[in-house]
Amino acid sequence: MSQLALPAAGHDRPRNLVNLAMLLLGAASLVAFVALFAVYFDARALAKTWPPKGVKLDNYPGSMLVVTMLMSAFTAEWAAFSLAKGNRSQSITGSVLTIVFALSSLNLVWYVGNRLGFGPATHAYGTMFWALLIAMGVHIFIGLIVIVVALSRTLAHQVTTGDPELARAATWYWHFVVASFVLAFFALYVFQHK
Amino acid sequence: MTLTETRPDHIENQAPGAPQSVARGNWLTTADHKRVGLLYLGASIVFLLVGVTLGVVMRIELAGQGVQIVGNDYGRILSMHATVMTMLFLSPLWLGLATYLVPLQIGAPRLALPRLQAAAFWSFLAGGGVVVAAYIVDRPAGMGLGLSTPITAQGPANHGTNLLIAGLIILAIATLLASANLIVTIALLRTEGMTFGRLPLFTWATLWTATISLLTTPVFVAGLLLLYLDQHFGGSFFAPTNPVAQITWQHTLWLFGRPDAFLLLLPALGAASDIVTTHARRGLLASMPVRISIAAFAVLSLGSLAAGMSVQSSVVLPTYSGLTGLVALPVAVIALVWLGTLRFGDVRLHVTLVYVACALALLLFGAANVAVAAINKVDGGTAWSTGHLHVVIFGAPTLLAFAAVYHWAPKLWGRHLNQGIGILQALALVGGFLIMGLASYLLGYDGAPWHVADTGPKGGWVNLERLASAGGVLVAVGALLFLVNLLTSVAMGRGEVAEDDPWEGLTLEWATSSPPPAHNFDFIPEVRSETPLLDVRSAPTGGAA
Amino acid sequence: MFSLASKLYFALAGFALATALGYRATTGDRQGELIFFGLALGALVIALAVTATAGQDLEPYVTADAPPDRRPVSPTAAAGASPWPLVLAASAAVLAVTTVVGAPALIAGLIIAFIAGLGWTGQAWREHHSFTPRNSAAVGNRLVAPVALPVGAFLVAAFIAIGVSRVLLHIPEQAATVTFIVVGALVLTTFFVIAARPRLTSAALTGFAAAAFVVVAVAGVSFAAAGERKIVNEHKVETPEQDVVALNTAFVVPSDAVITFAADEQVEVDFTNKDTGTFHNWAVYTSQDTKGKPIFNGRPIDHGRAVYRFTTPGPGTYVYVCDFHSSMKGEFVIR
Repeated sequence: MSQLALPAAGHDRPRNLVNLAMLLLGAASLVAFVALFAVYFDARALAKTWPPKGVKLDNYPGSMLVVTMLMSAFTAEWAAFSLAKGNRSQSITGSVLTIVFALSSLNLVWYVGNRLGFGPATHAYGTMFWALLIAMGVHIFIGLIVIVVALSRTLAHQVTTGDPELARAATWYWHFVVASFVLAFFALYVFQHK
Repeated sequence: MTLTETRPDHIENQAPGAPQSVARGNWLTTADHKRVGLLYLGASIVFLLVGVTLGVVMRIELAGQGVQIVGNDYGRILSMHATVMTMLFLSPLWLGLATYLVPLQIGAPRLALPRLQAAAFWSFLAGGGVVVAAYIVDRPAGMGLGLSTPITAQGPANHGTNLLIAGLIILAIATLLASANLIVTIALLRTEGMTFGRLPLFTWATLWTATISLLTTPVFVAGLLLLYLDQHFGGSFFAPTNPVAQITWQHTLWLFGRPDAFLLLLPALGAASDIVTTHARRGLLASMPVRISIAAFAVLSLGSLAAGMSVQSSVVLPTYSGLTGLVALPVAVIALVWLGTLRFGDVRLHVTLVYVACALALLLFGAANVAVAAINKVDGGTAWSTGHLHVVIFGAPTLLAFAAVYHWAPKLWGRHLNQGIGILQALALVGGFLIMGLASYLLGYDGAPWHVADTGPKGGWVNLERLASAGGVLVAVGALLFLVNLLTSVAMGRGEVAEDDPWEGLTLEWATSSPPPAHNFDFIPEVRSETPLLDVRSAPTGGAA
Repeated sequence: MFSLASKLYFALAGFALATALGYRATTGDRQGELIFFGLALGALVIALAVTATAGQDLEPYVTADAPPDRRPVSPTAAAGASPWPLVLAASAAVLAVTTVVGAPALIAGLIIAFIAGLGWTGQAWREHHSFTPRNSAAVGNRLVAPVALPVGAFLVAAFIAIGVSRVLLHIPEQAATVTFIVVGALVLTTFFVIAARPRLTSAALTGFAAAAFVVVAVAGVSFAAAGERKIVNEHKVETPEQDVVALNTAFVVPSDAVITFAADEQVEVDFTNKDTGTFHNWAVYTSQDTKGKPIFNGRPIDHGRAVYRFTTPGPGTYVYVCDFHSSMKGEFVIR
């Protein structure tokens, strides 16, 4: 009877509210990406040549991007894990590294977009490629903001070993971003040709 | 080392006793779920007026032969009417009720992430405003979201199209945030003893509405992104020459090819269950079948995504009609349990029960017509669909939505709505929907087209259109009666002042004052069954809630 | 282990998966199948998340005849107000307008969103139970001041520079020189006076700053609206120049209507592509047959502007086309 779902004091929240919200929104992002893949693969299967003539993708930035994103998944996990285990300074290092990786990923997305040589209106392939690229950029940007907010609260001693939820939630969202990008990488680069 | 845990953790444990005041803020800054819920209700009623006006304009146009008033803008008005009524009126009405009631029903002092809900509401308002503005500034080319085929989709887009897509994306994101927030609240903020199996039925239905919304809205966003890239940059992705365009449109953008159409009825099933149990003064005769049926309805609504096929004119496809037809089963189970509950309960006759009966009549009428249409192989691309949309997809849920407002009005505003006007309104709405539906169904059996400003010179059609228009005007009268009731009973304060628990309710929202305080409850009764207040009343000591 | 909701969530994932498999088999619709797979994946994540966080659905043990208990709730459990959700939604509305008016709304929207995010986080930070005024002061000294002071100074300088330069760019050259000297002297004198008389009241300073702000802003905006004077570069040998714009897959040539160049001369074509995302270029051919060897073909661009320089051939009538869109063509004359 004394175990209350909600303590009487307003500021002590029940656990996992932000975690669950992030997981739900992460699931929603994932569905949006899969819907784009669905259209992409349908268009690919119905096209005579895929990618269309004249499209030459540079594999290098794509590969760099996927490597950067995968590394950032590890640093993000490191940040959340070390905070839970009581190592605040390591957690801050992990978060800062994640932010650096996220910024370089955004830069790479920008670079890929600049060097494509076709626009979203050039052909169906262009529409799909740009849609995935823009969706990716937006998700990296949102993830970046979430991580910066979590880090600022960690620095202010408000996200602590005793209450590490926000750091964990930010990491959850970041994992969804990385997973979406890895899927996008397979669609756009690995299975590029029909 | 400067970066060590110097902050003592005991601070976290020292505060509870210290009194802290919480700023409630005004209507613009509030994060109180009750106020946000009322804001949702208010906004949806404003959009209802917009949608009704458009509907009446279309019905007046159809009542005469030839094109008299709308000129080339019939498609624009139709598209706006469909978008406003589904996405800006009925969905946010349910969302507003859920925002208001869910924490009360589960015994929580607030939503899980209260400010997120405020952000969702204001974003909804911004997105809704942009959508309405889009239709006003220009004719959004190629954007008949109510149509199963992209009518034209050749960019570059005009301002109307650009704004419409942007507005719809904002609406979708607002829906996602609100849905996630409701799920988190229901999953994690239930009071002690409130298991999932004991959730009030409206909350249970909200959980499933939010879940399906969360899963399917992203598909819509993906489609909108493609459409924006296509239209804004002048591409040809949604042009008829692209073999993928048709199917992508149906899967991602078509308003009724997504489960959202079913999500208009899903919360209604929960709300009506709560209404039936409250006025039968007993729990559901069989609660678990109803819970499973509500979840099954939600799960099966995903089947409407199976509508997409590269068949141009056919809306009613085997996969679509098969999978969506299955939802009749859970609805039937739920309706039977309602009847049983009323049979074995101690029924208090209340206007809300009239609404429930009218909604069931509409559903039966629609189901009968589905059977007729299936036997006669009626084409879904005719006026038959107009009738079906207004009877089943929109009519029945709308009646139940008004029932919910009448049922919870004492809690929302501390005043009863006038029951006499309520009954008149119910009769106007159900009569209007039935007349309009019957005329449209008959037109459909005769092969009359839908989505046109003029059905053509064929004899008898214009008379049926006139009949449908009379029905449409009756529906508008019903909507106006509701406004009158709201204005006189609540705004002008003529309504009877409500007690905290006017119905001898069964669920927790009736265990607090009307309207509730900012923190919802001073005391939350312990929950030992689905009907905690019944337990309190029948307890040996006669505890007062 | 599993609550009712968890079980039904797993059933939802299972239904979506089964539909994905069955749907493809019955209809051959690849896209629908993949969307159902996506829904199954999403539902699985939700099922796992709810199972992990909401946990078991235990009912607390009570003896059968115990009267129902009541639990008190503190008024502080209510949600606190915040203006930032409204500001964030306003930024969304401004961002939506971006699709019509372009970059200015985008920048404004992002700035409003940034302010909203900052305010929201700041409020959450202040409301945390560990927050004390000393925290606030420390953050102010360590984080805000080192950033805010230089940024603020930069913004003030940029404001003056941009505002005054709009004026200078509009008025004639000699007047601009004089104005520049006068304004420079005025700014120097003003700051000298302020520095020399530390006893000026803050109200006087604020009033003066506000007046100066209004003057610069009004002058800057009105002269910016009036436009810049035509700056003629007298030292450069004038090259014949022609503006060409590609818009909506068509060439738009300014009012002179017909492009004419002298023969055998170095000329410039100032080419602007307004169909962002679509490649266009400007190429010159001898005859109506544009399949042959071009006399000149400009580098394709998919947005922005390019200056093409080439030497005109002998007199005659020539054709210019976009190599990507054969419908984009026009004739011009070389005398």
